[in-house]
Amino acid sequence: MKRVPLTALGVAILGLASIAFAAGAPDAPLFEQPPPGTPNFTGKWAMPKRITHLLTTDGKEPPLNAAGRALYAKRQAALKAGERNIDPINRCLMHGTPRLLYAPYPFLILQTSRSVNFVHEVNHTFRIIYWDKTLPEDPDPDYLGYSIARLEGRTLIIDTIGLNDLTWLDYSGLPHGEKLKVQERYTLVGPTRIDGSVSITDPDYYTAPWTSNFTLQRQPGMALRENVCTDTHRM
Amino acid sequence: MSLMAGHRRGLLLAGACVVLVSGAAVAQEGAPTATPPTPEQLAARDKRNAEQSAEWNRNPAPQDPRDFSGVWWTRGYDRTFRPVTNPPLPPSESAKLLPLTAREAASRQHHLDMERAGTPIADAPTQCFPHGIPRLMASPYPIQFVYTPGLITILHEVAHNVRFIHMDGKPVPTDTPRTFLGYSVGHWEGNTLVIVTDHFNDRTQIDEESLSHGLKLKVTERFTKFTNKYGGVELRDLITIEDPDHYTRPWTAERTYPWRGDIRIAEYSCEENNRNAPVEGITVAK
Repeated sequence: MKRVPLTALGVAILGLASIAFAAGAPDAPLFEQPPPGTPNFTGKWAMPKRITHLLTTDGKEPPLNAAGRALYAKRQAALKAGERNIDPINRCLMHGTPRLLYAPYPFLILQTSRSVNFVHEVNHTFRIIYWDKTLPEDPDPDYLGYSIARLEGRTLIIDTIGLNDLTWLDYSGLPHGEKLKVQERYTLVGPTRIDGSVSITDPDYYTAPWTSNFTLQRQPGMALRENVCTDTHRM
Repeated sequence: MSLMAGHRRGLLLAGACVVLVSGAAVAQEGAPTATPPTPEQLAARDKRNAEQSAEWNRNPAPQDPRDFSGVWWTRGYDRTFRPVTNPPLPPSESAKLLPLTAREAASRQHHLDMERAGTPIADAPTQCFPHGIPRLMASPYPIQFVYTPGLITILHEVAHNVRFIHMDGKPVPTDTPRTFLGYSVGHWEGNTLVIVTDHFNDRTQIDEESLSHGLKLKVTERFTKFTNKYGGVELRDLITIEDPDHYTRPWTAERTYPWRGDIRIAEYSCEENNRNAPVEGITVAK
């Protein structure tokens, strides 16, 4: 067995201790980290290309049913007429899942062994998603829904139900009801890029489930600006 | 939620220097009552605290003294910040220890008068703005600490406030704007997480009741984890407030946050029910 000189070992231990306790050390004690070998999505991310209107993966319009077409047409007409308040986010309501992703602001993914957290710059909105195995049967609906997360290879998969019908799927006004099920998939295709998709299942407004793709680009640093909707909008 | 404080270590305030002393005292949240509790009341309180701690620990707190990851929730609600003393004083007494400048004394009286008149001055959270620091740390909603390299994030249920504690050892960027929650830099001193926050705007209050601050506000927090006599785990935040325009010297308040392994942070939309938007700075319920 190779012997390690005691003095060298001592210096190494002292060195580690001084690093751990140094004020503001970059390697301050770190806990609840993902197990070694797991893909780690922690970072600051943004969409390099703004998506305002969701299209399916083959570039087509989402398969709205009659009720969906009617509600969508109503919203489009109101937007064209300049009725800004028809859009819930102009009243500072939460963007909802999945629209939060398409807000033109960066966001942090904070991946831990406890949960994976999405902290968005826009109106300091966050989602805490636990690594649960199952979704509850009938959660009370809210803006961001009830989500569970799992990893499959290099892909993070988030399933969400329990969404209220007060939000839009995208900036163009695509509707959804309370039966909406969303599946987000994030694949780490390189250190600075995530290829992702959002799948929509909502029998109230669509004739079939459909999927839309997006790309995320890693941003430098981890800082987000303070963004306060009710202040910006002077409500 | 119980209004009882399970366990509180006495604190001695000497100027800006806070000295921890041993010798635990069980005190009621806020003021000790004029009549001391009976032995039966104390026993019932002990029993409840022990049962609660067991319930909250079923999903246990992390072992490492520097690992605050997970959910914590302060007990009850105290809408004031007061200098910590040993022994604890009733609020009317500890309020006299606030080192107010003449300007702040007048401002505080104005806040109290306006509230008494039924026209309270609109506080930032009334308008769904971030609460400000230390105001946010008094809020009676759960919080979650999240650790990632170079950053500790505190996610607050109340009005989805988010605090970023920069742990990367870098100085505050020169172009840092003034904001509701300011800019926080953290470091470890032994098992204590020390957070210094400044770059505040002047649009938040120190506490809900009456205390104000200006642009010179600097807040130093010292977070330490401890186990109370019921086996419950708590975080203590010693909060030192400095603002020479409002306080003649730094002073230190305290909050504690029991570990809550039994709950998760819920969605909270302030904006959905924003009925108390102020008219010309005065809160008007609609």
